[in-house]
Amino acid sequence: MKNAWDRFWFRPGGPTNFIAARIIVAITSLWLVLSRPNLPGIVAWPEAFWLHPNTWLRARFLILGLPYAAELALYVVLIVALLLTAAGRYTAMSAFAAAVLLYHFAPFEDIFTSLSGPFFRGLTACVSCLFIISFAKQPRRLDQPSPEYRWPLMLMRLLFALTYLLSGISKLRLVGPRWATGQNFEGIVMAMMLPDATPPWAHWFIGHPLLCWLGALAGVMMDFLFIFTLFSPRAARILVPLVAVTHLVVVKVLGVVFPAAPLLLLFVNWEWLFDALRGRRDGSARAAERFDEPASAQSGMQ
Amino acid sequence: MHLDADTLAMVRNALQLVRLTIVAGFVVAGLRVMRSPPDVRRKRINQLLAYVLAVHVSIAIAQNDAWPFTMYPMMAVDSTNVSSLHNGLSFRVVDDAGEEWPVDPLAWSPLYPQSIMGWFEVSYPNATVAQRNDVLRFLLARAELARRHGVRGEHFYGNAALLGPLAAPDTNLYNAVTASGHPLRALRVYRVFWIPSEFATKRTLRDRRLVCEYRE
Repeated sequence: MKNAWDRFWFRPGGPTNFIAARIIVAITSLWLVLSRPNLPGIVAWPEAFWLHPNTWLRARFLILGLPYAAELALYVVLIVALLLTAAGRYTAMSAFAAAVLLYHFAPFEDIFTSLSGPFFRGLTACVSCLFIISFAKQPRRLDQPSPEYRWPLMLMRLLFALTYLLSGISKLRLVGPRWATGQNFEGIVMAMMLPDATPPWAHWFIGHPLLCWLGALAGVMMDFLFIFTLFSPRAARILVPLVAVTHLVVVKVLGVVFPAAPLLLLFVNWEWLFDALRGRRDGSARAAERFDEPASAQSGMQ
Repeated sequence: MHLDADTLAMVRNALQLVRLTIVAGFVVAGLRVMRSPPDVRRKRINQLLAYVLAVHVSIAIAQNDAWPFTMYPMMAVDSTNVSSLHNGLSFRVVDDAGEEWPVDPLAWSPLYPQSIMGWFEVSYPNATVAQRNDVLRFLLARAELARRHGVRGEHFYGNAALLGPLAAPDTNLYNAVTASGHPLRALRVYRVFWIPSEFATKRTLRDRRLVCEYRE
């Protein structure tokens, strides 16, 4: 057990994948933050909007009654911190500051109504990953492989993979096995056809049991199989592109966007990719030596 | 177990502190890794990993979030009954000519209409008349600003002001809207009722009731 634990978390890993992960997390966060450029503005909205979030909820998300100008200044600090993190400058400090500020700002989109966090707005895994980046030893491009570059990357991948597994467990706990039936999937498609917004491909599924069963099975497989990408490069090579495509189809069928989807790039084996791009086809064998894995497993996804 | 309203509120409030404490525990465990001398570093990393795993097992069992540790209950619903009556809110603005228009999804940036609907579901019933008017006046003014953008052919403002077409969308899709050529004078909030199986095939609503209207 201890050997398996150590092998999973502490097998030496090269710096490239961790550096890529840092950039992916920071850029994804930045994309979402810049897509809500005046998020701090809601602190200046009429007081009546703030009837629901009581002192306890505000305290949980560090909403301490700062004026708009101060919140805006913090938002600018967040953007700068994310840029520094992406660039690998003052990384421990900038990633930590970005994580804390993102923890504070991300719930703003739901704060008027929700008692929980904004779990589906794309920043959930980003917050945790930024913290992890700040906790880890910061790599340099030419560093030798080290366990210090493996465990933070695997922890970030695990947190992202849990998005699917925990979602599947929630479906089982709250609905049971009948969630995974064509009948339920068709019902979900219908329920997402709202008077003010009807997904463009939804009607393809209505009255087509086979398609609905396929949809249900795809949902279950995405939820329960994605976790295997952590253990098997081969599983990652198949599942990561499939899940990416599934997210695109879900937008058209259910009208639901998954803004954290760029984090799927965490599962790409950048080390191998960069070697391949440089035309160093022997990279596979060399990397296999480094990672103590069979050469056949070293491609595309890690 | 039945709890009275006060006790329930107290439990909910205490849970917020518990959630903050769980996140704080993660941060403390991580900071201990950052500051660890080489001889105990592996041990502290293991403690951090074990903490993260334990938190996720706990929230999976409890089905209760400690965001950013969450159980992602997206679409965890039984939708097999498609002939039951569903309802939801719908916003309409009214222009000078008396015509109703849908609201531009960017009008209330940084929030999208779905979040504003949440306010009407949760807080509107408890708000005073003055508070309701404050909110409706604010939303109408923002909708009018959005209409002016639309009339000028400006599609990228509000949430799309910086990144334009590359801006991340809301998690929900919205239909494209056209802007009225006349200034807006009123905001109406409707509750609409529909049966999913019926709406899916015929696109018909069962009922539409006015929840409130604000007129300038």
